[in-house]
Amino acid sequence: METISFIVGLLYQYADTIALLALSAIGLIIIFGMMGVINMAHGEMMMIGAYITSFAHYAGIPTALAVILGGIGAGLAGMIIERLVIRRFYGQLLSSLVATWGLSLILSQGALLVFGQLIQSVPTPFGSFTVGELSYSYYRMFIFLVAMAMIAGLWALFRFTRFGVRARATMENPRMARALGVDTSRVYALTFGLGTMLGGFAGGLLALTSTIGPFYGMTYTPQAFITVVVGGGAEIVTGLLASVLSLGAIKTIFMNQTNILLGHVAMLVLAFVIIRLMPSGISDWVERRQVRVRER
Amino acid sequence: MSRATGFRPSWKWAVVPLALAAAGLFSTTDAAAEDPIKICVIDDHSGDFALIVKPKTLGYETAIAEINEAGGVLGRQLEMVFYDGQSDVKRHQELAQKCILDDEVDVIMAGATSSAREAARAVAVENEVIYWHNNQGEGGIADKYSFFTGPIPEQQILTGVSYMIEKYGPKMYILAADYGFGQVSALWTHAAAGLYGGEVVGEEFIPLGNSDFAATIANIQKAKPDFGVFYLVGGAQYNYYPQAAAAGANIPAVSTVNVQQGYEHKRYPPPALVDMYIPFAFVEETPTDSARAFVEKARAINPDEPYINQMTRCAYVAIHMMALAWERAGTTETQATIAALESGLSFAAPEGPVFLDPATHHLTMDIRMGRVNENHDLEFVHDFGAIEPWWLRTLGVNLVRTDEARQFLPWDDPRLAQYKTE
Repeated sequence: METISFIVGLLYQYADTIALLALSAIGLIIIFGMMGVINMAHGEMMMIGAYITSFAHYAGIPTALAVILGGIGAGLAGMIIERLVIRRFYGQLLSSLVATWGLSLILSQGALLVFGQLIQSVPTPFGSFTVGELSYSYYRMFIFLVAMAMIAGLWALFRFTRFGVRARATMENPRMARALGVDTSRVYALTFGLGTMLGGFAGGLLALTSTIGPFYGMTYTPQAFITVVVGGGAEIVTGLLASVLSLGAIKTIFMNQTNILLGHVAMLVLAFVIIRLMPSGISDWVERRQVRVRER
Repeated sequence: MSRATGFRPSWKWAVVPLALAAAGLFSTTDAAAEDPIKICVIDDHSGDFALIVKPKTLGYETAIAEINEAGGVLGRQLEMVFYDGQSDVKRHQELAQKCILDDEVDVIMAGATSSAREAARAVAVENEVIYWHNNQGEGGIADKYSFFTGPIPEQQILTGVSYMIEKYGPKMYILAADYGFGQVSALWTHAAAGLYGGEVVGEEFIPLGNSDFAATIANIQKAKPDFGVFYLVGGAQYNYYPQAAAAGANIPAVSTVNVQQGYEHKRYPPPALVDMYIPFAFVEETPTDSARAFVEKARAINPDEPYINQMTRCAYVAIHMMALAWERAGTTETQATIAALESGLSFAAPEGPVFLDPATHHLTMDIRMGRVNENHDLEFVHDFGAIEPWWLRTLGVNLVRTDEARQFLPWDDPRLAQYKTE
């Protein structure tokens, strides 16, 4: 019984860590992979999703719908931002970093000025369950499943839809795609909208278990950033999965066996090692090996 | 016989220089009356600590408005020179320098966290400017230029922990923010456990900014404590409460920072904070008429402030203490003002009378115990009465005679050091 409860505890924490990493990074990695743009304002997209979720919840809208509204709202905000700012920085990693960082400051400080230091938290649904002597939250397991479903959905979207084919073509070789009649600027706008929508949706989901304030997104931005850099932009789904599974595993083990600080440190050390060995991330490294195998 | 007609001194002539002197005196006073007394305030209005620190500024504003309406201090108005510390330690240091060098302020009130406090305080002390820290803290600082309005461990931790041991049993689990304040408070908790027959069954230090508590919640459940002792600081760390509640893992707990500063009981839906106990000097719900009047006064200045917290009260008391000292000294000159501050000042604080202890520069204040109930309302379960800042005095600290210019830790006291674990 002791070992079972230990294993369940560890698995729960692993799933929980994976969910947090995946949810915070999923929108970011799409934008990075497709457009070579790192959106430092991604955390603020999550914040927008969380705010809309809280306002909608307290306006009497069912919670599930409130979270979806959060995603849609952030997606729309993202498309506006793409039109006004991002459009000018495609493929310019460093300039886009600075521009979106500025955007992040404007959005979070703007939220502080308009809505004050905090807004009401939304109660966590579903209650808890007990295994052995420890009790766990159903909702945290639910968001793990949702995160996995989102990754699967993303894979299906890029694999089976017309948008997916055009998006992959644009990613692979934008000039060629344009020559073949793909409206790449529309693809970019839609991808950015999709990325920010997923960010807003993730923000809404996480809002149900956390404090919501103007700097809500900033607690997720660093880990999202690390996850994306480790995953790389060559193949979004593989990169994201490989990244969250490896970073999540090391963080969980160290947190469980030592303490939170060493958990964070271990994750950063692993990220450092991975980036040292595979400078463009795991997915890029995998892709190059595949190409090499094919060429043989 | 004619009398000499030369100049003859007479008492009447003495009037001339006197009149001149008086005119000069009045004219300088007039010039000074145009100059306000400058109070440098550095509070975090953005970043992780904005939520708990913003109400502090309201406390300064309330006191300054009150004093200025009544004619100011020494015939001069008070003026707040405000800067946003942005929850950034380095910025506190730079802004404190700016306050002294550019603004030439008469006093500095800055820093909420112990790290920001030390950054600003070092600058103030180095430049021989009076410094006030206006929220609860880990105590132990004995310094000629530094003054404190917030409750300290002998007022909050010893009282709170002994109450919890009596009510729930001896086993406690410490959760503390991983920096100066959290670490020293944890040491005090070990000492309190030793003094009152308790036992620390687990202890965890949480990095600032950490918002994920799955591992911590499991660790607490495994240790099976009778109650928790929580020193969680900053917006991210508050996430512990909804996450523990969602996992059905709430335990009764005592905290010296939560609720009285971060009003978590108002921000989270029940049952996240149920059975949280707080030993406090002031909360918005403090059950005294003067506290209610104070809350009303502060709300009149800023109706949008969601919660009037302990920091609001500390800031308010600090301004009034300085006003009393300047009036008593008859000047804003630093050494004379310190002498006045060390002359035994008392003030009717919102929760009850406070007394500024000359020997330690900390306050004697009323401490009450509150409990967050099932509806997330605050109930008052115990009154500890007025508690003096006695600990530094028992170590022989007397700032009136000797400037110590240092911070004492619990282990500097042999009576507490015997409970040191490791």
